[in-house]
Amino acid sequence: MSLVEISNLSAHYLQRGKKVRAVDEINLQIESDEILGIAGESGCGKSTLLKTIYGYVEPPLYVEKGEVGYNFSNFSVNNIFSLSSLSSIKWKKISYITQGSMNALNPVQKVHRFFLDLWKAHGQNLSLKGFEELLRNRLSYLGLPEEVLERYPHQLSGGMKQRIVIAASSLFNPEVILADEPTSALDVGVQLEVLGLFMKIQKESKNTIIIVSHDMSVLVNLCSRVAVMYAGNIVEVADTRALFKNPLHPYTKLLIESLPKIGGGKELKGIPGAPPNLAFPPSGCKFHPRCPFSSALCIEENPILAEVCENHQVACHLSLRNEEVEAEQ
Amino acid sequence: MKQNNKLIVNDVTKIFSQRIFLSRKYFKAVNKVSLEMDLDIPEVFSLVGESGSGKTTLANLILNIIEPDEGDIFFKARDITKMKSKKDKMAFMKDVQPVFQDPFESFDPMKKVEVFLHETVSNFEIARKRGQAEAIIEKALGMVGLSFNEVKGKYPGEFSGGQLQRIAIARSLAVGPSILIADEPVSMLDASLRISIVNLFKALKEQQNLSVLYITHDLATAYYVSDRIGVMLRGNLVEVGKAKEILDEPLHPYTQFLKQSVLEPDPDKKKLDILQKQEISATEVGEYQKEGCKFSGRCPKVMDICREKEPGYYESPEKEVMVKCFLYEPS
Amino acid sequence: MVKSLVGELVKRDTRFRTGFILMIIIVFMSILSFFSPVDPYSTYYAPVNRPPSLKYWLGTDSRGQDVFWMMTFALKNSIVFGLIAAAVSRLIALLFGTISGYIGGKTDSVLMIINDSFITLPVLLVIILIGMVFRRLSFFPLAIVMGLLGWPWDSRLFRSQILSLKERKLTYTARFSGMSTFSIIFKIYFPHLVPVFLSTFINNMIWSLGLEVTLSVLGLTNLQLPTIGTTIYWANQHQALILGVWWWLAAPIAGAIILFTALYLLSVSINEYVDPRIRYQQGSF
Repeated sequence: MSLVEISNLSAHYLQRGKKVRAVDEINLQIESDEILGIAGESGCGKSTLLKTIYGYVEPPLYVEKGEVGYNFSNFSVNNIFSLSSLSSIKWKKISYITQGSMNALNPVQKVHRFFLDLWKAHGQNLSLKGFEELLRNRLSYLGLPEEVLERYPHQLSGGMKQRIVIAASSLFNPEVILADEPTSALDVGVQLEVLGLFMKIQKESKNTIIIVSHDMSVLVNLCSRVAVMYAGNIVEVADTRALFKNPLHPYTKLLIESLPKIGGGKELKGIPGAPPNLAFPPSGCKFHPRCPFSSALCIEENPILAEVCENHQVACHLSLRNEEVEAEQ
Repeated sequence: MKQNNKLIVNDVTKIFSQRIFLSRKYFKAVNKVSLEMDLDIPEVFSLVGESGSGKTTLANLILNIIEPDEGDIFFKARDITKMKSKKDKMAFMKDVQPVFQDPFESFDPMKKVEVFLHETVSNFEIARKRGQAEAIIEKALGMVGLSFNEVKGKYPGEFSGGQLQRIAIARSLAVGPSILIADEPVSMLDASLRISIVNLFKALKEQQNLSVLYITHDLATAYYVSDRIGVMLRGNLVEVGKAKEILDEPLHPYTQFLKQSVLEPDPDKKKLDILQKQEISATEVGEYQKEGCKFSGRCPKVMDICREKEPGYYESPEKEVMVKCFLYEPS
Repeated sequence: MVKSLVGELVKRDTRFRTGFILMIIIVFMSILSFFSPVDPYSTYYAPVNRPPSLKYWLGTDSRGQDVFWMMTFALKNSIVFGLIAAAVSRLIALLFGTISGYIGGKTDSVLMIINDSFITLPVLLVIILIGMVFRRLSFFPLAIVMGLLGWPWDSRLFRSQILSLKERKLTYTARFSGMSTFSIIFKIYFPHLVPVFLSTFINNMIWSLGLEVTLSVLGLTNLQLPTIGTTIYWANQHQALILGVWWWLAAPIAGAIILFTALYLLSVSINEYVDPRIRYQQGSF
């Protein structure tokens, strides 16, 4: 039984009367004790997927169909996709770091007020003293001196602000932490520190972290498994090593090949064309206009995510065809 | 007399102030930076640095958007800070053109894209008649892989980031400049589109003899596209030289730190397992105010002299690299 | 550009539509004044104090005038007054704000000191003072004086718009496209200022009309010229309310309410439209 089970999930934005399907029939199982990365470029729907997993669904975002089910250590539940529902699990069983949250700290309040608000909203089962002790422990665990509580956000560096956000989201030891682009605005040195923190938290509490990033290098280094999204669909899911050494989906292949490396010598090529407008997606497989291997079937039918080898799923007619050919032989 | 075809930045300093509550702190965004580009030998020169390194400020100084507080900048033997007449400024802009980070900010959302293309062609008097103007625009768009028909009559919002950035580059190319100053031109674009723009710069260098001053924080892209690299830290140019030489074996401790910290998309080269220390980086303003070398606060090879005096530039004996570090001071 | 702005607002915003319709009614009434069978300056051509009837749609007043036709002139003159005052003040505000914002530095500081001194002037008292000195505040001079006094608030608004436009990358693109300062301001900046210009124009009309009514009711303007204010003045002079000639007051007051409501609705909906439109213009989709 997986920790989080996403079945047949579709969600769209209503923009000027048009449906933009950012999440299109997603099926995904997320286990406990893993770091899952969701990769993809702008407009692929990865941030929206994260929002729906957390339940942060409000107009113009609507869930069309499908389910997100949780199997926590002591109870199971199905998310009914509203902000106020299941507030007992929010922040305590599952927490969410939005994009740019380090810049959302109130600039005119000292940091301790932020944590006070957090206690009032989610920590009422603890006394204030108990909460403060928990906070102190977590801050020192993350390498933050206690004085940060008395500072204003603008007095802190980007890295420190991000640590504070991570402290808040891991405070009640949730079983799932969702993070949307947690390092995209940070310098490389700070990025390394912050990712190291995620690793430390995961190693010691053995929870699950789901991290969304457009930066493949981040995902390679941090995650045990990676799911690649394109135009609202998951096109490939595999263990990190398998994905990068043996990418099966043409998009993943081309994407990985377009990444420059220090010490790399060869000429790189990007992917021609541009991601589709999700309000008017192409027929069949949404990648077919840019795919060097597309066939007539690709134009008609959108391939379904299927397991092709051990722990390696891909949504591509080409791979399925190859598998059939291999099976026949 | 041989035309002096160089961009020479000579000991340039730019001071900014920051008000923190009631006190005002001054810091040198660019500190005695010198570099030279010979436009007869077109190259891609990357200015690499993190946030607060001063690379964008340096780019703005070279574009003559702001003026240096100390030092001079010469372009084709002319001091650009002393350019007063419109004629001089137009001649300068005909040779030096910018490419900015956000293509959607570079255009006016209320105007069709071709407006700026036409303006560029007519204001610099490249075409005499309307028909000629369109031909020149078509040629410029062709250099970036687009045609006028694809662009005509459309507003910026109708293009993707990649296409719009190409149109911005085409506009810069329409005047036939000798150098493009590109400030993070691909950081807002998706990874799969970046390489095509970066390859475009390479092609322009080879086919149009265009030099590019490429500003970025992305070491991997800099390695891929550059001939030479300058590494900047808190306003100081700490290492300058051939790109591959510097990034294959960096000399300056800061460059070494950068290289170590850059994550690679290769599961065989994971870096997070190795990291055990949980240090917190110093706040930015604090580092600017340091006496001596700006990296002395976190340098693993720091010596006493680093904290007191600013190092000079020392040439590395084996390579064509200049390093601003006492470790390489010839004794 | 204005046409598309108006078109979209009429479709989307009920307030704008209502204001627009009311405005059309008022403008229609004003145009009728050109077809008036009576001369607005003449008096005692009709029987006095007759209540509204089929012959005299809004009745007659104590001066023997047909209230309906007087109202057409009153509305026309009031609108013209507002337009002149708003136009003059917009031009000065735009000029001040643009020069100050674009050039910056010392010029900006000096211009803003002048600007802020004008803000602190108590306008009503100043105009009354002018009226006392010149004995009379006739129509056109008064409208121009309003224009000369009504600009300082909004010039700061234009200035801040220009300041923010100046910092945007599109300004640098324009400069490196070889555009002159003049071109940049006229071709690029001004279109961005149109929504703000329109909304402050209407606001200014409301302000100057309000002042005109106040001054006229106090008897300080050219009382022969029919406007909303002067009509109320004469009605008060002849103690219309006491005599029971209520229609003489009701007509100008109703006219004023409709006119001000129309202008207010237009202004508010354009104001709101300005914000999300700017966001849309940023290219976010």
